[in-house]
Amino acid sequence: MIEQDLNSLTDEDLIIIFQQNNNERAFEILVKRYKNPLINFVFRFLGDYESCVDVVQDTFIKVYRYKNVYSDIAKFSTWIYTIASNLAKTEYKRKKRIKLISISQKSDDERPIEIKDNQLRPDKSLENLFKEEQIQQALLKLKIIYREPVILRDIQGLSYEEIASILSIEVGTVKSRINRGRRKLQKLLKHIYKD
Amino acid sequence: MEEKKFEKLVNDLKNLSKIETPDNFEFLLQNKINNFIEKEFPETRRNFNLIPIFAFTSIIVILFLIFQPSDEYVDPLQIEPQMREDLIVYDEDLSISAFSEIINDSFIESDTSPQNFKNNQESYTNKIIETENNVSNIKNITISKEELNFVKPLLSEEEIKKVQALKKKILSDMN
Repeated sequence: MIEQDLNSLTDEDLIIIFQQNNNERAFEILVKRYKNPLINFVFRFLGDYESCVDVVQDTFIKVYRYKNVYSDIAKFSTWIYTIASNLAKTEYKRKKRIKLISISQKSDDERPIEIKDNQLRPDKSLENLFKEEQIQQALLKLKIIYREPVILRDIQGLSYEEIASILSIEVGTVKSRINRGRRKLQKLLKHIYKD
Repeated sequence: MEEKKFEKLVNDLKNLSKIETPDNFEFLLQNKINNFIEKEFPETRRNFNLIPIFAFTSIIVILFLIFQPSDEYVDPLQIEPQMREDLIVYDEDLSISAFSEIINDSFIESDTSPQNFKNNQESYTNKIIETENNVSNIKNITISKEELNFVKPLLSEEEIKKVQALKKKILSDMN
């Protein structure tokens, strides 16, 4: 199939082509489409750039390895976010265990947020950067059950239905968790959101 | 109502800096995938590679066994048949009865007058002795390999002469 044709296909069509013909180009296009949204999601969840790159790469390896597991009854985005979410949670638990046995342990408030220099935009003021750091720290303080739906909804912009499929919970539960998560976030960032 | 309450926060969350993958992301991913493939399927690949080698070796061994070169080559068509001693049966009664028939024949053919009776008796006695000797000779006959495949009558010289005389007679009658 011609390059241009592949680019115009949906995610679901691409993964089916990859399944049937083992077309590596279809897989490459999927990587291109999802690498940044996934790294954004995992970074906001873990707060560690190096770990999040590994998690996203492992996510794509899983897609490559278990491509035949995917069934077109679900959206491809839901499937890949589910994989990334599970791997991110595993990584988070692993890091938590390592942190528990670490001798020189800093408190959460002291830990600097790791954002690469090349990610900083010149148009952003220092005030904004400071605010971003505060929000990221607050996100990491949230419990996983609230953090995950808030990131997926408010940062990634997914629908409630998609989040419900990714987290395997009811839509109502998603809504209530997002609501509680936002409330907790606002409480943690009360010095920014005074009113 | 709830949405309005968190409007600012939601807005800030949406406008957070977009994190991007490093430049070598695809390259690293490709390396990881290649490593995974090598780890996951080394056995299968090795086995597939060995299949033609195994097949080739097996064919060579089979061909070697079939067409094995040997210095002690013997043409199977030139081999002499082995003697099967279990099939050589000597029937003593049959031989004796055959000779007694010959003796009886000579009695019928001979002169039976009283004058010659004594002479005949002696000659008959001699014949019997001779016959017994013949029988003992026959008993001692060993069958050679050449005789295994042919029906060869065992005749004494006298009998051969008789047979030849009969042959001549038949031929002369026919002429």
